[in-house]
Amino acid sequence: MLYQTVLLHMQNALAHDRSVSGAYYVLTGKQSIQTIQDAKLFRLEPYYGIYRSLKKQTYMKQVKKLEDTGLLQAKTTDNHFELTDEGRGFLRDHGKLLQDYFFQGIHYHTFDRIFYKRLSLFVQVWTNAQQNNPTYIPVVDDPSITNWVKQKYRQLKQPASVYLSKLYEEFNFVFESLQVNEALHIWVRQLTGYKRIGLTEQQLAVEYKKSAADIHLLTTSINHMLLNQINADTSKLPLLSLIAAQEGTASRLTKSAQKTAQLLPSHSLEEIAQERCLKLNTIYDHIVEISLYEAQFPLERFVPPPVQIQIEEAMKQAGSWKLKDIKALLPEQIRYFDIRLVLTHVQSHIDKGVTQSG
Amino acid sequence: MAEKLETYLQTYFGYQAFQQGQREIISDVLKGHDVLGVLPTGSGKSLCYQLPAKVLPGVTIVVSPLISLMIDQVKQLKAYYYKEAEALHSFQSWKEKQQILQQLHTYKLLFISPELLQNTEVQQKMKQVSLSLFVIDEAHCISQWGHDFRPDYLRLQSIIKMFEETPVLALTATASPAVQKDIKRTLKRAPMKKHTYSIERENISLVVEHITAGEFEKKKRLISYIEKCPAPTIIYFSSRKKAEEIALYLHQALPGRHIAYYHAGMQQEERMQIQQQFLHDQLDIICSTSAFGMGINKSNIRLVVHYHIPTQLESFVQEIGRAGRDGKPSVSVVLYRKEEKQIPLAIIQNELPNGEVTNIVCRYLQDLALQGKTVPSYSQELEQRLQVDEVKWRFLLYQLEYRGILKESVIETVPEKWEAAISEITAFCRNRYLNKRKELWKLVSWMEGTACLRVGLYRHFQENVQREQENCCSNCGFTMNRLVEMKEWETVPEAPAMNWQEELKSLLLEGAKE
Repeated sequence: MLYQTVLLHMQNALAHDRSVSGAYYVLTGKQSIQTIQDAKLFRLEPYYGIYRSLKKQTYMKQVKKLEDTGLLQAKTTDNHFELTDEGRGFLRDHGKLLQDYFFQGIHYHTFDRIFYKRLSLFVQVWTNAQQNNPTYIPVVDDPSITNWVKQKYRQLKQPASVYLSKLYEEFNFVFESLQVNEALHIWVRQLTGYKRIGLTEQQLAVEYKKSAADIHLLTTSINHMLLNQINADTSKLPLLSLIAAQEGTASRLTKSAQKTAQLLPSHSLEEIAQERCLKLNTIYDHIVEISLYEAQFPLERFVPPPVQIQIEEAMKQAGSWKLKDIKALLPEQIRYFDIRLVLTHVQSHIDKGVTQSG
Repeated sequence: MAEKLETYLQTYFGYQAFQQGQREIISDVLKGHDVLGVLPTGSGKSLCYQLPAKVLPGVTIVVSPLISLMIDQVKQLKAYYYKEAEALHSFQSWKEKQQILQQLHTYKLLFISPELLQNTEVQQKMKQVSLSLFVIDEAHCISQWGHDFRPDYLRLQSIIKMFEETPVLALTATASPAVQKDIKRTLKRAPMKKHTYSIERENISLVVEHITAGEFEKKKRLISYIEKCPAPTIIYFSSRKKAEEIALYLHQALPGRHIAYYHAGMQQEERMQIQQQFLHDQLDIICSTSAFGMGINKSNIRLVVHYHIPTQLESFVQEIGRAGRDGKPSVSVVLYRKEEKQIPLAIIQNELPNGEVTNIVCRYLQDLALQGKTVPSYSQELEQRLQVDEVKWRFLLYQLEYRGILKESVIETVPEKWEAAISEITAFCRNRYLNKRKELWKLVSWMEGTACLRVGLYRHFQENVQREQENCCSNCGFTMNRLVEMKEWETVPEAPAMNWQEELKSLLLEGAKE
């Protein structure tokens, strides 16, 4: 149910401007400027990258199913879908799910799995240590996680039982305020402890009569709620904060965009392209990416204020976020690059307005 | 020396005594002999190289056919204090492989997949360290007549020759005399010391049930067996889809039981979880393809059901051998429908390229040769263009290489040589298919026969079979009722329903109470 609701919600937001693949790219957290920008423009940041393992084929099957059950219908444009009246009704009826299950994909889409794996491994290590059992097979393979946990484990010198009680208290502190008992149960049952192997998503799906996608999203949502609470209440959740620590604030920029950002203060875009042996269009992509995350982004440096006004006017006139529609209303010399930057800028102002009034 | 072996066993592995065959094989290995060991499944084959590897000064290399099995083994070894073990395989990144190769000399035991052994860089590194022992696990894969022939294993020949000084230990669980001969011939290490032990499992009763009605009847019979024998069970299928489907069916039909499916299409971590749940008695029934079972050390499996039959007796013996490793009475049940012979037959037919595929692929490569191009690596594009899967592609490349048509990337251009090679390969495949079909008929006629199943099964592998066993087989009057009367079963108890609060408490705080 949750997966369906998320899909319909996303499709509803994107229907007029993006093909059915748009929502797929947001869900799987595609590392393209277009997708990140879409997530921002259409207020789908919460769902960015929350289902990274989703296969296109499986996704399309679900879309087809929604169409067959009369919740979605194909538009005349290729591969565009919109909600039917039933679909909108469904969304109204189940919209509460999206409030109960909180997502923060844009913030946590890369870190949530890391955090969860560290947590699972710590639970396994401590519960076994408490029983003096040194022989078990770690649930996590990834050496970057196992090494991290190993290192922290050595620094934490008290008996395992102390940490387990702390963990228990901290979990209770966070979970008690949540209204999602079944999801919490599902979440806990995936953890592995002493002689107690966690269940797979597939097994839980069968047992709870849900889809595997639902189990995945419920779990992701609990992880996001946990991370959010940890960031908000660090002092009350010391142990979880330690497990959720991110050494050297990882930049959200792609590696290549980071390099461009370093050169940006002292070089022109053409110079950067030349020095890095990249196409100018790639550098444009980097600039748009930087503008998404950089609060103090110097828009005037790239788009002179009169052009900004022209583009904003065209946006209003077009009544759409579609680049092509906007471009058609503007003089030839105004580039897609200019429009994309202004769109991001306008959107971030709308965001600020919302948070201030709310 | 004799007492010393026991001391090693005690210190390194914590066991008191050797199982049948282990001591004899290990002691010959430590003397530096080349050894062929044929030991039944579940008899602790891997100890035969784990112990020598600990004791010998250099690195022991273990060639193993299945990467997932290799990864599991290393995990288990590391969990049990054997830290100097590592696996090298093609699922690892270049960086990971480099790290392992750099530290090669620090390991005692290195598992490696046969195709990586072909890599010249790997060979170079191996030459730089001192090798103590070269182990070929599942050695029947070498033999073209074995049930699990792998072309990559044939290439071991040249590697073994390269490391002439290093003793070889070839191990397998099932090898008919013909396969044993083949192994020895291929390795060219005469004279190898041979140790073979009876693969007969006296505690396993054999049942072949003939299903005359349709699949619905089969499912009903399956349920009745499971209900009669509520104990750890493996059910084998020949397709992933069927394994999943029946797992779901059983889940609905038997709500009190704990059922899961397992196949190679699942994520590595997921598979590990299911395996571990089974080992920790959280699951009692696994619906599986043949991917499940190798390397599983669960002693109390009571029932192995073949929902589909395998393609030959050797695989069958391996699979039922997972039952009753604790020596207690256990049962093998085959649910057999005559019509379903078609399934293994189709598998056999599809195993090797047929004449048409051989022709298409060879013509394609021949064209490349004429254009002076090199052999491309396997890709999706290639798959679609030539309609050939990766296994068949590699098989054909090997065959061409073997016939001197392909060498690294140099391709033969003389048309006559190509023609000869194509017809030879086609004949080879045809021959192999006919042989496999013969093996399948052996299995089929065994199942359809009315004589003692025990004698009929094991006489293919050894001369002496225990006759007039109690609880022998369905042709000797064994029925499940007789077993039910004498056995107390161990099922997974129904877990009490909990909420998240209780679940969390039991997970994190349970241990503190004890």
